[in-house]
Amino acid sequence: MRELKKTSGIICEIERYALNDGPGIRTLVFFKGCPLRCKWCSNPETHNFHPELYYYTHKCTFCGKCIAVCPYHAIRADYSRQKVITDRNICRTCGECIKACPTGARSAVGMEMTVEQVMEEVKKDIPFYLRGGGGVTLSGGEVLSRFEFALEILKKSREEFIDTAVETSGYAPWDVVKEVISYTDHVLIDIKHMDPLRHRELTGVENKLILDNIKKIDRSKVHYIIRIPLITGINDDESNIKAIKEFTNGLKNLREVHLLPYHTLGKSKYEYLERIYELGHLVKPHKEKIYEAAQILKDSGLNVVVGG
Amino acid sequence: MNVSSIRVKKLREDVLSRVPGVCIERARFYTEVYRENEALPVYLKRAIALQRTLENMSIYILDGELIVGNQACAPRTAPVFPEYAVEWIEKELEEKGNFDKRAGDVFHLPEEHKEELLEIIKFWKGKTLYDHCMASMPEEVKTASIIKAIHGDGNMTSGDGHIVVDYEKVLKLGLKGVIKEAEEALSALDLSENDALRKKAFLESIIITLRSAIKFAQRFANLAEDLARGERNPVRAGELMQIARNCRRVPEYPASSFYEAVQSVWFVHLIQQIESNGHSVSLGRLDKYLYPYYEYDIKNNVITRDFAMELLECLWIKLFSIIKIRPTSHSGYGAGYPTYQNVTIGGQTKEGRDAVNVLSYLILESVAGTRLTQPNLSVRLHANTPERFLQKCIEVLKMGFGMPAFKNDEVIIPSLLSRGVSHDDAYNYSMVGCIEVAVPGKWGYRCTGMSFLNMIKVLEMTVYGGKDPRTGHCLLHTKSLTEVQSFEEFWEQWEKQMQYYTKLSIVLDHVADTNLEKLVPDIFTSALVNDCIKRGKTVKEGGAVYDMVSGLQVGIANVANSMAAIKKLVFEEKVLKPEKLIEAMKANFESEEGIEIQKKLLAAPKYGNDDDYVDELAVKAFNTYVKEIVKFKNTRFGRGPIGGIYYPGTSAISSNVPMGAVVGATPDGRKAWTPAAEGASPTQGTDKKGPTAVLKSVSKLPTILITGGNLLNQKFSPDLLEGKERMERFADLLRTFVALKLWHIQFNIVSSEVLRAAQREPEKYRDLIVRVAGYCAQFVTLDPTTQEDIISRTEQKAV
Ligand code: SF4
Ligand code: SF4
Repeated sequence: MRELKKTSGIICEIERYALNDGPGIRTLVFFKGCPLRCKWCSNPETHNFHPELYYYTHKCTFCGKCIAVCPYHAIRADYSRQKVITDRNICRTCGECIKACPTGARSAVGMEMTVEQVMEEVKKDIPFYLRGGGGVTLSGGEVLSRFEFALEILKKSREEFIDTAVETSGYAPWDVVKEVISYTDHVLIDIKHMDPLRHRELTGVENKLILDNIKKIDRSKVHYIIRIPLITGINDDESNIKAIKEFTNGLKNLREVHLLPYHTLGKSKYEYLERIYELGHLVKPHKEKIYEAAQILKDSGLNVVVGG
Repeated sequence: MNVSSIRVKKLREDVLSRVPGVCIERARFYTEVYRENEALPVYLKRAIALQRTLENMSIYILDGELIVGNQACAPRTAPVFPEYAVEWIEKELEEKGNFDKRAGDVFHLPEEHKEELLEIIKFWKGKTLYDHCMASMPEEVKTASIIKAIHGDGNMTSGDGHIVVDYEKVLKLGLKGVIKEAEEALSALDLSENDALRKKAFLESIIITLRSAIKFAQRFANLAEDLARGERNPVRAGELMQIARNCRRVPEYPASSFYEAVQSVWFVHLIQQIESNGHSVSLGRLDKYLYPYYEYDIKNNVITRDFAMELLECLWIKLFSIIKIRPTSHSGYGAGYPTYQNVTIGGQTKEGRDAVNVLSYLILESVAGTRLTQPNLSVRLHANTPERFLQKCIEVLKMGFGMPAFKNDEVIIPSLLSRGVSHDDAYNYSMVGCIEVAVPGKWGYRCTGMSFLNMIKVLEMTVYGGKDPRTGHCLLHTKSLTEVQSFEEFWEQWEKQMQYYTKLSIVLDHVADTNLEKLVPDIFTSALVNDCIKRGKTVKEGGAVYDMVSGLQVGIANVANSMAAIKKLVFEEKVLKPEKLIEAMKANFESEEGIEIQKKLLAAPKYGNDDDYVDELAVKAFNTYVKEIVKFKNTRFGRGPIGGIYYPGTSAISSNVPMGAVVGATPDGRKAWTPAAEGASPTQGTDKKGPTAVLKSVSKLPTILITGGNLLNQKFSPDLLEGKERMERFADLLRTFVALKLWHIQFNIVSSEVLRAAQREPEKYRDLIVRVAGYCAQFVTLDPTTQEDIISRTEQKAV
């Protein structure tokens, strides 16, 4: 894979009229690539740093055209299912099969975009940002993993007086975090689990760096919100929520916490990527569980938003 | 939000349960009068016919009703208007035996009246408006109508409608005051002067109709008194006596209370509906002109707020009881029994201050409570619309019956000013029908034209060198796509075709207008439009202060998308040979190669995604049309009114379905015979970037020049409005809509699952209301194609 300069990066998607990722009407820029692998992740297409292939099984008529055109012989037929299988380790996302597929069963997710291209999209909704304090939100994936690219977008947005927000796992060296938040109006940062080992088990990394960063963000005075994904039976137990509460009690400038209940909307994306969704079988958290968690956090004077 | 009382609940259920019927009383009286008075001037003939109808038709007061007055012998029963057209009635009766076997918009004619109706038809054959239109229509226009590049049947079978009379004047002066005006004008006439005899007949006919309107109200007073005498329940007896007192006073005298004012407005509105067969007869700025009465009554404890609500709800049920039967050929253009009785609220005073008052809220709430397809409620937004009011509108919208629709003062007022409307009048505009605007009481009919121009058909023919592949007709030969050398040259061919068909659409409009003027002048309506009495002219003869008409274009999005695909694939990237494209279009993209080609076409830029490549083509295409249509004058030009011109408009009601039904596959990847895009909305399902992108795309069109109104339809799933925050975001969206100077926007807040369920079990979803385009309809009464079309509109999803 070619080295990407700071003036361009791989973007999964740019979504307009996003309503849950910062104040006002926002444009959400999804970065591709993340150092974490949260088992419940509903955006698996943002895991890898390179563009990938989506394969919509339901649209495939098993015509075999893609097999014929693939220059790397990455595709083979699965006669029992009357579908094709793509070896993701061989595929280079060259796009030949996408062009060849007559039914639109194949498409690319992720494309290289320059800062200018991103800005062009972001600027389109300026009239909408002006009411209700909206703006751009960088999300992912992990924005901080491509912080140079992110910084450029944030700086350019500031130049245009566009409100900026960043959604992050917080998993990056403090220097990086520090620089990025100096161009950010709202930081949305996750706490997934308080237990370091459990955190590693669930996400692939430990939480120390993240928690340390949160403490420093708290001291930096930037407006920030902590977001807690509530995953049924994984981190929604009372002891974890209480541990989070204990941690947030030590934060002076935290005002708001968002609870993001697990949902299954990401399920089909795992299928498109021909991957297995480890936690795809989970049920949505119970209303009462969400209420309980919210109650615990509210007790320490925090504004708790469910959904957020 | 629910209705305010059990009474209203019962009345609502009653009117909803009615199977639409057909009543022949009006036809009977009109035919009698025409038969007996062949030699009379047409004004008088029509005045006497209306008089005979009002004084003899069946009237009723339903149990519990507070507002009285009926259009035909039962609620939801359509009168017959034989003077406009009868062929279609005869044809449908002959072929199907009744009107209850249609695919949509079903009516039932009682068997015992069939014979009499056929008898009536015999008298009218060869004498109707439609017959006259056909006789005077140039061959070229006929052929263009067969091709369906233009369509004007609506006008020629049903008359004008589309008007807001001067309700304020009636409330202030009473019909008595208007009669006095007419009498004075009459006595001032010097009969030896040129044209004076005509004026005399016109003014006399006004006096006759207004007097008969008063008589009509008196009949209800008598009936109420009779009923009161036999009424055991003392409370109801008291109500009936009140009704009688109201009907003795209004519309004859000025209204002296809110209750009387509502009753008076209803009578005046109702009589217009009986007089003419047109639709979109609208009520104007109801919150503005009823407010003084409300304010006074509340201050003096004459009524309570709850009672005022109840009266409004009764008025909505009355509006819903009105219904018109249209030929099947036209009902596809406005499916779902629409009558487009618009009520406008909000907006600004003539000083430019916000005009929202308590009544605006009550109207909003009562419309939400009754949840009927009528009135067609419009809210005028502007830069300073109060936040609370906006939130209230969103709450109502969230209920999912498509109302209210939003209009934008910030572009409509400047647009009107640019057309020569005075400052005060421009600030006082109201909606008519769905998205058209007019100055209440001062504007002629049909600020929207009714001659449709099928832009997508014109585009299709341009590809084939001017020949219509469906009918084989070729009225104007130009170079086909295979003969042109460049995209610019292709565009020129299209412009030539557009100029040609625009002109024909105007001729078609004139055919209708000339005959409407001559054959079916509306006397009652003219009496209440300024300055008809002063000028001694009907509206149609140039009596109105303003008279401007819009053309109606269908399929702007399809044209832009087709042009973009041709430009990009055929001429720029050269990956598609014109011959191949045409071959694929002819095969409806069904061959193997066709599928490939369609895929490419569908992948080309699409209007509605804030993509300048295609949006600029939409703007350019629209400008071509704007430039063309303003060259023409309507039949009132130079006869009194300010204006007398045409301008563009995209209020295409649901005509995108029948208009698309005659067009083969098109270069935008659209399959043959499927619906065209609605108004200025993107093609169904091609707006992939969400509502902000759609708004941006539409905002690029020269909206200020589209004084006939620019229609934008958006369907939202309800989750987009869940919770306080999302509702606030939605308010931001609406505020940006205002700032972007878009004309109109309306939302269907309903999930496609619900719509599918309604298709499966229509009985259960009788009160599922959807916005079809500019108006609301009961979803289950729509024909399957329109239903599918509604479902296929992109459901905007939030991230
Ligand atoms: S994208 Fe290219 S490498 Fe990957 S499967 Fe398709 S053709 Fe093969
Ligand atoms: S080309 Fe498309 S439809 Fe054909 S087998 Fe491959 S994925 Fe399936």
